[in-house]
Amino acid sequence: MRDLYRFILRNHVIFLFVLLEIISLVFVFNYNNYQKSRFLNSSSQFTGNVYNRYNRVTEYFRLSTVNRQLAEENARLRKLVGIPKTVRFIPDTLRGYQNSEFQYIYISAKVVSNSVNRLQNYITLNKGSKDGIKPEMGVICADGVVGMVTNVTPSYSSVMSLLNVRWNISAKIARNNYFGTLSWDGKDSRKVYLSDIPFHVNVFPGDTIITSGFSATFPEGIPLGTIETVDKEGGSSFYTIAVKLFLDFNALSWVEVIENNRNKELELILKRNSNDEGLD
Amino acid sequence: MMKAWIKYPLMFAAFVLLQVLILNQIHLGGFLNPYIYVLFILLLPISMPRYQVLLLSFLLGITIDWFSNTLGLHAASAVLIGFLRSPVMALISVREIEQSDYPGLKQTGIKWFLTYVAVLVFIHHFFLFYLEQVM
Repeated sequence: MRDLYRFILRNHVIFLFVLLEIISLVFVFNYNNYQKSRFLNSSSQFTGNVYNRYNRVTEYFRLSTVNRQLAEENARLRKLVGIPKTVRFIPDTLRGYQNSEFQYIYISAKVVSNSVNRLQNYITLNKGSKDGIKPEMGVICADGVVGMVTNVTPSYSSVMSLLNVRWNISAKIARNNYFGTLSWDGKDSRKVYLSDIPFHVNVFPGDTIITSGFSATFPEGIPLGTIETVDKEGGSSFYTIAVKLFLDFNALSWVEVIENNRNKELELILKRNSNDEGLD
Repeated sequence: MMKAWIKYPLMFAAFVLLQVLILNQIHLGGFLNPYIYVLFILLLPISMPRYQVLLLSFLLGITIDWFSNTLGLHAASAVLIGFLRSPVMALISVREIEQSDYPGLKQTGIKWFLTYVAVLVFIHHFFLFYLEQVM
C-alpha cells in the first residue's frame, strides 16, 4: 500500500493530467448534445450577464444596420396589412376563427452573443422563461430562420443556430412545393444545402427556398434563401443543391421567438404517426 | 513588479474577456478565429508546480467553454498543453529556463520564445480542431 501511495505521489502530474483529460472528454462527448446541454451553457445567469453588459456597449455601433433592417421589416409588414380603410371585411367562413387564439405568437428578443465560425454555433438571447420562452421554440428574424431554443434560464436563453452541423430543418422549393432537408456543412456562413430533392424535379438556380411548416417549430412559408448551384452527384438519386441564405448571421441583432399555440396537438399527432410506422 | 497572486488572476480574467467578447467575434478570412487565451498558460512562471499549471489550464479551458457552449472542448485542449509545457521547454533548450523566471520575449529570447509558442499552439490547435470534428 505504501508503495502505491509513493507511486501515485511520484507520478502525480501524470495522474492529474489523465484525470482532467478524462473529465474534459466526458464533458465533450456527453454534454454537447443539445438535449443534454443543460449544464454550464451560455444562457446561465453569469455568462448571460457578462454578454448582456458587453452588448449594451457594442449595440451602438450597429444602430444604423439595425435601423435599416427595422425600416425594411416595417415596410414589409405595412404591405401585408395594406388594406385601404374604406374596404371592410365581413368574416364569413372564417367566423369560427375570430375568437380563437392566434396560432403563432412572436416574442421579440435581442441577440447578446453569437458565433458563426464553429461547427456547432449557438446564440444567446436576452429573454428567458420569465418572458414565456421555452425550449424547442423556433427563432426567426426578418430575413429568415435563425434557430431553435435549446435552454432557458429566467432571463436568458440559448439558441441552436441554423449554422449547426447537428441540426437541420424541413424546407421546400416555393415554386413547386417539393420539400427536402436543409442543413449546414460547417463551412460558409452564407451557404446551406438542400438535400432529398429527387432528379425528376425541375430545379433552377434562383428558385426561392421557404420553410415547409411540417414541424411544429416554424410556420410555413418563411423565406430562407435562393438556390445558387444545382449538382448531380454520381451514385445518388438526389440533387445536391447549394442555397444562399437571405440572412447574414454575422449581422444578427434582433430576433423573434415563435410560440406555437397548437404545438402540443401537432406533436401528439406526429408522434402517433411515427409510432404507427414502428419508428422511435 | 506586480505580486503574482494579483497579476495572474487579473491576466486570467483579461484573457477570458478578450477571448469571449472580442476575439470570438473576429473571423479572419471568414472563419479563422484567433485563440489568444492559450497565451495565459504559456506565460505562467517556469518554476510553478506542474499540478498547479494543469489545474489552472483546466479552469481556463472550462471557463472559455462555458461562454462558448462547447463544454469540455477547450478544457481538454488547454489541459493537454498545460501538461506538455515543461517537456517542450526542456526540449528546446534548458539554458534559457535556468536563467529566467517566466517565458517571455525579453526573458528567454525571441528565438526560444517563438519556437516554444509555435510548438504548443500547433499542438493545441491540432487537438482542438480534431476534437471539434469528432464530437
